[in-house]
Amino acid sequence: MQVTGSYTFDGLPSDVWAVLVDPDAVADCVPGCKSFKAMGSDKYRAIMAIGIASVKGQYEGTVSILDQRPGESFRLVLEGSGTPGFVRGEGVVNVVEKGGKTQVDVTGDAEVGGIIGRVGHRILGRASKLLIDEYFKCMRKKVASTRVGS
Amino acid sequence: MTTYTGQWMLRREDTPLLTGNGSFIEDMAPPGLLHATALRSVYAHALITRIDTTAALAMPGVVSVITSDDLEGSVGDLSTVGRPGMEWVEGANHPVLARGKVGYVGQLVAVVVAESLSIARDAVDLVRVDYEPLPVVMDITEAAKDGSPLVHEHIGTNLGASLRVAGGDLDAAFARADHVIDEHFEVPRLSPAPLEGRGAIAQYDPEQRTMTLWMTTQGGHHIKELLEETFNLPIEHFRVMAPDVGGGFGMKHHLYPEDASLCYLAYKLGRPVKWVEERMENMVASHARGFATHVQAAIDNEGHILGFRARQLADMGAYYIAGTLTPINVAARRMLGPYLIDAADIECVGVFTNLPPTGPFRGAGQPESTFCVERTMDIIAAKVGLDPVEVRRRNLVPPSALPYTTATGMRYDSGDFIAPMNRAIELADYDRWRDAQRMQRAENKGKLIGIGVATACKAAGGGGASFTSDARVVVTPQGKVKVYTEVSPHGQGIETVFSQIAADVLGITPADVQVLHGDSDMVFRGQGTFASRSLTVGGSATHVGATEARNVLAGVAAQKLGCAPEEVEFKDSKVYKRGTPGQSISFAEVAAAASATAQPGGEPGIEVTGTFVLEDNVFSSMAHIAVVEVDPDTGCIRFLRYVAVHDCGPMVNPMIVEGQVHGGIAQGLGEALGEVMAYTREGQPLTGSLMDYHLPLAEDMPEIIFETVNTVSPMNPLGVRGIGEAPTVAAPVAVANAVADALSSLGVRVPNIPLTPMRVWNAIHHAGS
Amino acid sequence: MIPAQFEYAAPSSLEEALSLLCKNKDDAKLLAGGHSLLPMMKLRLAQPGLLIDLGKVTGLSYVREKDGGLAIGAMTTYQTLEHDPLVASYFPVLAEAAGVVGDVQVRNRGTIGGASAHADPAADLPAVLIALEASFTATNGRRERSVPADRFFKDAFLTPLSETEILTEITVPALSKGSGAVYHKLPNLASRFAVVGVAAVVTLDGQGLCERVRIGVTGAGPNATRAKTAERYLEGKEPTEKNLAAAAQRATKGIELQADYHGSEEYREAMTRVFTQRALAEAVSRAG
Ligand SMILES: Cc1cc2nc3c(=O)[nH]c(=O)nc-3n(C[C@H](O)[C@H](O)[C@H](O)COP(=O)(O)OP(=O)(O)OC[C@H]3O[C@@H](n4cnc5c(N)ncnc54)[C@H](O)[C@@H]3O)c2cc1C
Repeated sequence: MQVTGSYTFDGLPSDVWAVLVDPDAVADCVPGCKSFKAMGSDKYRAIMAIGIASVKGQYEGTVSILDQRPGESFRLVLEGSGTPGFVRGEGVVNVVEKGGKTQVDVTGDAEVGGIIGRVGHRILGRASKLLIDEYFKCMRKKVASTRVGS
Repeated sequence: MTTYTGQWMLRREDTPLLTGNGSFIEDMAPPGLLHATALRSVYAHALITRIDTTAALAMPGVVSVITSDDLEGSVGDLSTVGRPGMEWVEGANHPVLARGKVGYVGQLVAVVVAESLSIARDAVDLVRVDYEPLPVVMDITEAAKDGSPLVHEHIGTNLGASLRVAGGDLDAAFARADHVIDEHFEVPRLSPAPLEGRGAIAQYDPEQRTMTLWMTTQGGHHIKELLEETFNLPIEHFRVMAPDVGGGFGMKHHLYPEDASLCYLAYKLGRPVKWVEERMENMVASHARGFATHVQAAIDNEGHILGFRARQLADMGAYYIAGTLTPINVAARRMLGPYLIDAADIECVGVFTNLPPTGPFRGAGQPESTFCVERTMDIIAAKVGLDPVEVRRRNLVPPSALPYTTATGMRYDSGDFIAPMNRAIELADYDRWRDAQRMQRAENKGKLIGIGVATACKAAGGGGASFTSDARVVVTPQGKVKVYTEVSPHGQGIETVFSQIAADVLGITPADVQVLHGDSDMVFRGQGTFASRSLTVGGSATHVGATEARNVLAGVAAQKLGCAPEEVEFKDSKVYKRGTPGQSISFAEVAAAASATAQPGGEPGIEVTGTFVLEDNVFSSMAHIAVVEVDPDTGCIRFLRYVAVHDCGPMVNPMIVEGQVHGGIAQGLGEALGEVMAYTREGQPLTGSLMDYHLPLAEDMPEIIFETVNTVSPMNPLGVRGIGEAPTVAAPVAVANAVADALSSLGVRVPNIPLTPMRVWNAIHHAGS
Repeated sequence: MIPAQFEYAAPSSLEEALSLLCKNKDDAKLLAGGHSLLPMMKLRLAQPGLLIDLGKVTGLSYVREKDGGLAIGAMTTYQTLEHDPLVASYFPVLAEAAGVVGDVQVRNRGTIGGASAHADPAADLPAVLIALEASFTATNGRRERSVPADRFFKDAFLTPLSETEILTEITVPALSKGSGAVYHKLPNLASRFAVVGVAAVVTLDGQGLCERVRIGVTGAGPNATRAKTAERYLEGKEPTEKNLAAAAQRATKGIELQADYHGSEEYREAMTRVFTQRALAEAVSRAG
């Protein structure tokens, strides 16, 4: 499953980038995040409760923030599994300046398995889009608040 | 002297089934029953790094959780049935429980047993399995290429099995050809989807050292043999019994990991254990078809086929199960269909993929190959500018050439391959539809009319041991008859049909005949129901057994009637000397007298075992014609007419024949129009539930115009040719040919089946790109 | 197919149901026909701790006349909509659409309220309710509110209903004279849900021009929506084949096309146009 999205932030690419890779910000913004703990550098163990409509599930897994190129890009690797199934995804996040603002482009690929993939595939694209939108909406707030704070 | 044979008789099986009084595995509950649920792989290809069963085992009510470690030394991998002349690699037999690695989504990893099904189901969610994903290969063409990820590293190739059959001078044929047709055809991976999924109950008797497995199966004797090969425990006797079975279509002629697990658990726990499959499990348990074929046909300007070459890839999935090699064998050997083709070279290669294992499905290789040949016939017609019917007429084996042996070594015993086509053309109003098509094309608007023809032949019997059948016939002192058959019916109406056969031989009524089946202890050897063998082989054995019983009775009656045994007639439940029906004695009286002379021991009455051995497959032939309308704006297809004519030999029960034809066509249309087990690149099922896998619905079915031709085969005492699988052979390609014909007016090539609206629309709207 | 454990309550009044809902809001689910919720529970994708069955609540299943249109109780089944004489005389399109949902078993159990609250992006009725400009009445016991159809289906499985609200009634306003309405769908052949479904309501004026056009599209995007650009294009115009085609061409404007095994974005786009054109043509002929 291909996942893509573009999000515009107020602020400089370097500031936006710094927030995007900040584990505290990630922990706050991952939808339904219940716990987020570092396991060595760049890798975190997370528990998330994610759902859409009556379908809810708890996933346990890891989030890795790799190939960090400050102010430019990083690679995000995500793995989670729970009773409804599992998700494995990998994406590249690029941060570029555009007309005084910062544009964040996400492109990735995800595999969803288990029962959720079996019966839910027609809706997975939309569901992941909604979750990612929610994530970046939250990040936008983080960036805004750091700007106010600084 | 046939009174009941040939009659339209209601099925005696139906009343209990339709009134909810059937007895399926789900209805059975021996005392002390435990319930099993399955933990299955969610990955298509991965190493298992850890299995943690502690939490599940700690749950109250949970009795056992087994993984592959428990089976070590006691239960081997599932065996597969080889085929003469075929090569296949070792080391890919299906493990009962995944050993360190999984090869497809749905593979059995662990089994949880508990006091109730709900507890077992709750406990499955507590078993934790960690996986390390491996590269996945799920496309046969990719899998066959060098450098593809390997399903079995230790084997070193995905090319697991191959069969090559050839005959005649193919080089000469291509050298003198006016044209060469070069085409590629694909038949999708399908789910056989029987109405009742799989399921079994295992119970072990430690005193008798007997393992009893009640199972929804097509052949208990076959399962018994497979269990014997798999188990390495001091079990002396396996008994396999089939209660009512809700369809199988080939899918229930394997021993599955779940069945073997149940036997192991019953042995270990000393209590009966039951498992009944859910539909979502059935959808990924085992599949069929999944063929890609490259065809080259050498033809002359008159449309004659001079030579035929085919290279097929067959999707075997990740492991062999019992019948995995069957479709490969059938597809290659029976590629050439009902045609005179002097030279051929056919190779079929079985390929491993990270998908569920495969096996035969109604037709078992024949639909796979018929699809290629019948598409080719239409392409030849277009090439040489002839009507598709005319091309077939020129190539069909004429009755005068029968018996005929194909270049691949198949012997067609007898019959008339042209007669069904001639009749189908009449019934379809073929010429009128061609006129309608010409008008539609001239107007160049609206829906596109397409006409598709398929002619084919289909073997009945199977091969090897399945050519032999025993029927134990008991005549009770009361004059009732019991026929014990090794054939294992699961929807075919065998009880009705065999009772008609025995009744006619013995001059009694079908109501006097009981037909018993579904117990490997009942008849000492057997094979089951598959390969259209039930009537041709098992029905013939019933005929032989009933005839032998009659001979015994005739001897006894002759003394009473004061005539020679040859002069004794059996009719209307009476026995008399030929010519003097007025001075008869009742059948029951003869039965009672004969019983008095019978050996002590066994059942009361007389008992004989009739054995029938089919020398070689017997072939039926058929012609289907589909007329369709394609909506070019949406890609939707609608039937305007559907005709099927089958030469199945004489019919014992025409109603059952028609039922088989309707069901077979439904499955064939499903294959043509909707069914496909589609997967993502990662090997995750996309059509893994019936909300996405399009089984045909009643409203999808056209009205079927059906007739038979009835040439008598010399191969068996009934003269029959089999009907169970035949309709599924012709239907998919009749439809594909019709849609291809409709699209040809736009210069568009028909896409691969299933011809879903989107595929057809894409073909139309992306033609040329 | 065994769901995880849950508690079950079958209140007999709306007040009781609301108070149960309020007390258990994170963990409770309302049960209507169960034909969307129960499959999810059996697959353990949904594991509510409490099911509040609306089946025994009095006064939620009815069809009655209201202000020249109809008021329909949330627990009214498809089967009732299909056969009810009031529905047949006021909004035959609603009966037609109810008749093409799933199969008989689904129609016997499934409800207009359940289907609306569930907001499946491929469900049939939402397109029709949008084209008919229905509105949805919900209550949390303290406050009752009404939401128009084109703001009710917000996203895939998303409506404005809060966790403590119960949808009680769907009202469909009267159609003016000279109106024709129709629903056409391309079904997913396996499930019969809509790959694309289009409902069209066209009102012709005295001169035979399209006075008012309403188009509801389901299946194409993440939620059922109104095809406003197409509506506006056609309003005031003559319903010629050319105009209908041009309107249909605009039917996908603003829809974020979805893709699945049964329909790519491109196919859904094309089918939305084809079915819009056909629906408009049929609605016009029914209007005349
Ligand atoms: C085999 C099959 C085929 C189908 N085919 C189609 C089809 O072709 N077209 C189609 O449109 N649909 C189809 N459906 C879905 C069917 O229409 C459902 O019945 C319907 O979508 C949900 O209605 P329900 O009454 O069954 O709701 P339920 O399943 O009981 O509930 C659905 C959701 O709505 C909530 N809910 C229910 N009532 C209320 C209320 N009054 N207030 C607030 N929330 C409420 C529930 O809590 C739940 O979250 C199909 C379903 C099946 C099983």
